[in-house]
Amino acid sequence: MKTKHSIEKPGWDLVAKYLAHETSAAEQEAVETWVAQSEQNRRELQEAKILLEKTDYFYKLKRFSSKSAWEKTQQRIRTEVGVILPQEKQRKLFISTFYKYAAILVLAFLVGVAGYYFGIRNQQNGIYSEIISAEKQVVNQYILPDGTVVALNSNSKLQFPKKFEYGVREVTISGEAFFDVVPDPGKPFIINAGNAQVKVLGTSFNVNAYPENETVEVVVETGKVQVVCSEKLNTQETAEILLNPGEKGILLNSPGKLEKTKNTDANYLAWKTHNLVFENTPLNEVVWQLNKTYHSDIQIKGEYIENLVLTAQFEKKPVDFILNVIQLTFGLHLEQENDMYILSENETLNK
Amino acid sequence: MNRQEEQILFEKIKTGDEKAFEALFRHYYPHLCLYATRILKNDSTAEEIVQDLFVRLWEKRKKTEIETSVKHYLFRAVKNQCLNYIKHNKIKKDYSQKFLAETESAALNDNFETHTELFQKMEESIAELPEKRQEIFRLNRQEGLKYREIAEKLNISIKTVETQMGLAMKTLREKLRDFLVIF
Repeated sequence: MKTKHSIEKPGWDLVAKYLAHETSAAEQEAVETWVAQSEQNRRELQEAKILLEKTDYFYKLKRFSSKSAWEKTQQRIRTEVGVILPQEKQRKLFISTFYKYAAILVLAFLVGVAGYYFGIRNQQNGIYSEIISAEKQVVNQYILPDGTVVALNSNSKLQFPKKFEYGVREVTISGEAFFDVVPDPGKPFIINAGNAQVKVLGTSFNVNAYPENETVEVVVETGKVQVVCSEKLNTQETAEILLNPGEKGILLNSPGKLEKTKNTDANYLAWKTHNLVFENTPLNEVVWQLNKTYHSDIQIKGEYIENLVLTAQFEKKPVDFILNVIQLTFGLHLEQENDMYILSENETLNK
Repeated sequence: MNRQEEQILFEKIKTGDEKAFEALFRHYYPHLCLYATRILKNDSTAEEIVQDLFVRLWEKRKKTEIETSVKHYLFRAVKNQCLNYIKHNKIKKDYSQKFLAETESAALNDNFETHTELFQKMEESIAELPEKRQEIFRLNRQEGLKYREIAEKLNISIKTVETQMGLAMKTLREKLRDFLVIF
């Protein structure tokens, strides 16, 4: 028989139930009456409560995976060390590929290299970096602090923080660039390009935002990309579009208008890959594409030649190889003056 | 890892030994993240802060001198980073100065560093529980299932869940009581 002053200690099942907020009103009262009875009882319950709190922490601990976090961190510590060297290598490679004919240009380019990689201070968040590509220079691969790989077409500028702040990865591009974004759902990747804002969670795509173009074009290679018009528009226009692989989003800077189309340009990435596809393409368009891809100066003489159509594929071929193929295919005359190539009718044959 | 082992590890790290660095990382990463969530209440920010800390530690490894223990150094660095983060970021407006002060003192007072040992012991103790009891306890504490939901899921009575939970707590309490200091 219980006396008035000594209520029995509740069993562990009841204590557990109480701490898990599963008790009925009567059970709750029983526990609380027992607790109120002495300091000793209060402590015992407190101790049980702490035990449960610690087990909860223990289970929470399991949410943090050392393995995947290490892989990320390892990549970062290796990138920090390695980032300058591959860049140097690439620049040299580039020089040997494109400037072996033009000593003066090489010099000009080297002067450019000195100022190529510099940081500017930003009052708010510390230090930003910029990579700038010169007139005829392509940066084939640059690794951002999060591991995202960027290729920069000529005459372009990419601005990014030396370290991405928490919650978001934001960069600004002027010109054309290809991004292969490292997936990180907790940290969207945002590219400011003119009046467009391109948002992604992990994917690869091309952004063409040369200021003189009046448009910003985004072509998606893999994944999904959201393009948002960052300028206030009149409300009737679409303010954002979602792009899937193979689709192209175009933002007309003025008036701010967003459009979505299928990408029909098979060579949109040729500036980076040097892979070219021509399908019944008139020669004047072929030449335009070659000049854009190789920063070459090729001219064609004669209406007859302009209207020839070419069907061919080239994978990573130098421009003189492609010109030779064209010359042989159509029996043309090819001459080179300094940096200029001229394609013309083969007069000896026609005479 | 005891203090001396850590010291040796850190000397190796200073010479650029990435394997040693990985060992330190793997040992402390979850603990430091959990500690950071205590201050920040946000898992992904906590993980970023801890990863950043390790990247910086690697960059500055040659210049870093640790006066106390490596463990203490890491926990203190995480705490400072978290408090800095709160002070300098947008969540500032959500946190009153009073809350910040409370968080700071809670972070200081709670001797989280000893938790690494507690959790090791807890891992063993939980693993020693009968399988069914372990499962019931986990479903309640980790997944937050109600007794009724556990009973339905495992096709047992609520009474059984109550009994098993009680037995689990009793055992853990006995094995871990040295760590459960109340002040």
